[in-house]
Amino acid sequence: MTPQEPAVADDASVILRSRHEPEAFAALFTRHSATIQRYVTRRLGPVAADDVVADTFLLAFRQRDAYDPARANALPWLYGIATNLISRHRRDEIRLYRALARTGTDPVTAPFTDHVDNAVAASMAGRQLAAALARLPASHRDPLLLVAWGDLSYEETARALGVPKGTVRSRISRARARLRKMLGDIDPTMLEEKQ
Amino acid sequence: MNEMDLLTRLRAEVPAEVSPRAADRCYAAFAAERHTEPRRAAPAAPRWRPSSARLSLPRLALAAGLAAAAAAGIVVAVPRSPAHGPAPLTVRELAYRAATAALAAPSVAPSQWAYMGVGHSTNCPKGPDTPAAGSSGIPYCSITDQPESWQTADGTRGAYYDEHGHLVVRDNPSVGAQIAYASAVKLPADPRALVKYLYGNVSRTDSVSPPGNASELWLGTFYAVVGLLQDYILPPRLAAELFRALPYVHGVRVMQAAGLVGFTWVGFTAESRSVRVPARTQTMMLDPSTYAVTGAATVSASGRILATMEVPAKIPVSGPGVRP
Repeated sequence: MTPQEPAVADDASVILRSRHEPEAFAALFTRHSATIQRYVTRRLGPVAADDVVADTFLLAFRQRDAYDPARANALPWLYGIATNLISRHRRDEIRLYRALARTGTDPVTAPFTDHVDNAVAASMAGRQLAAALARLPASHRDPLLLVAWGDLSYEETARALGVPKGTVRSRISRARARLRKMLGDIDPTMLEEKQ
Repeated sequence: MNEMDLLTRLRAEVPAEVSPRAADRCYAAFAAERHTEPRRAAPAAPRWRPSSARLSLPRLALAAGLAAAAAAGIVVAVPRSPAHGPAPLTVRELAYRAATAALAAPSVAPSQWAYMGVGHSTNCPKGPDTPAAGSSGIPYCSITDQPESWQTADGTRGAYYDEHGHLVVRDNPSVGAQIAYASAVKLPADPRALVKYLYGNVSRTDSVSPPGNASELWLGTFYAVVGLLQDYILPPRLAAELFRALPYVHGVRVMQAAGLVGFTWVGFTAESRSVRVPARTQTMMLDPSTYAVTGAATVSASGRILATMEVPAKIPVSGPGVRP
């Protein structure tokens, strides 16, 4: 008779269990909410992120019966829902990128960072990058940021967005080329000094 | 460094932590659906637990009650059952489930009398995993009945029947909470502010060794929360906020186990590292189905349950001595 050690159940098991025991879904929230929050916060800022993250998990909760239990990892599914919800805030997202491009101050990370020097050193690259992100079509920005900020593989990104893997590959390739073009004037050595 | 590295750097300063507001919404929704969907049958309640509508606040204080349990009464065999119960929970999940259950409880006036029923305390000095000498390997624990009693919601009055069957009503019954009911209802509503206040209160009023020992102060904060939940029938909103505050109390964990008398429970636990009570954890037990508070337990550092104090839910009645 000892305290029970937490057992590791994959996401699919948790979701399956939640179909007849709804509160079990809380385990999925506990497991992935911080990751999703970070992604959404980076794209929309902390204020809008709270609602989008909550809506993501509530939507997932309502759609749990449709989840494919063969997929052990639910993170791509959650990212897909979050990305759809982010699409309702496109203007806010682009506004944030433009603010960064215009001022050099990142309105998303400013509340969290205490590395003033880094922020200044990164400003030139950050501004260019933000300007480029603002100009990317959503169909290219979504897969690019799911890989860069969501840490998803191409295959997971394809699953999240419901498009073929080859489509993801080509869109990311084009997005990266566009970013590279806009960043062409930046001296990379400036950015290496920040550590 | 390429464009992907730059993108990653843009994300680097964003913390990976969920906001309490999002957590509030989600946990509440998950728990709420539990009450609207058909569920599997709940585990059978202990025989002594009233099955009628209940308020979920047991009365007896942790330390005093568990000490009383040491006075052995009836000796019974305890089956060596493996630990089992609901899925592993985090402190936050359990806190929100308990808070949701607390919010569903009816609000009562401070002077409302409640029937405390008959509880049990169990004591296994050597731990339930220790076979008794000469037995077939089944450990033995003592179980003592606690007399039935009544108490007002604010804890200012209590009642019981004496050995002659006469109802005795007295003022200010001994309760373990450090904060009076009248003060408790004025506590901050925000969970973090609540914890900050309680921690400060413990710092001012408790003597810990060594002075200022943070882990002991956090343990005292845990006891303060438990005491409030156990000793009073609090307004549902305050009870819910106290549960929500538990994730912010350092050192609080979730424990799930089979109880000494064969029922499963899930609870909040915090470890005592004091010289007087070395390496033990004190646990507030909750019913794994209703998340009502059902008592307290002392668990050794090795995970053995040494003693439990199990009490039934408080049931509002029309006056002292009235049974539901």
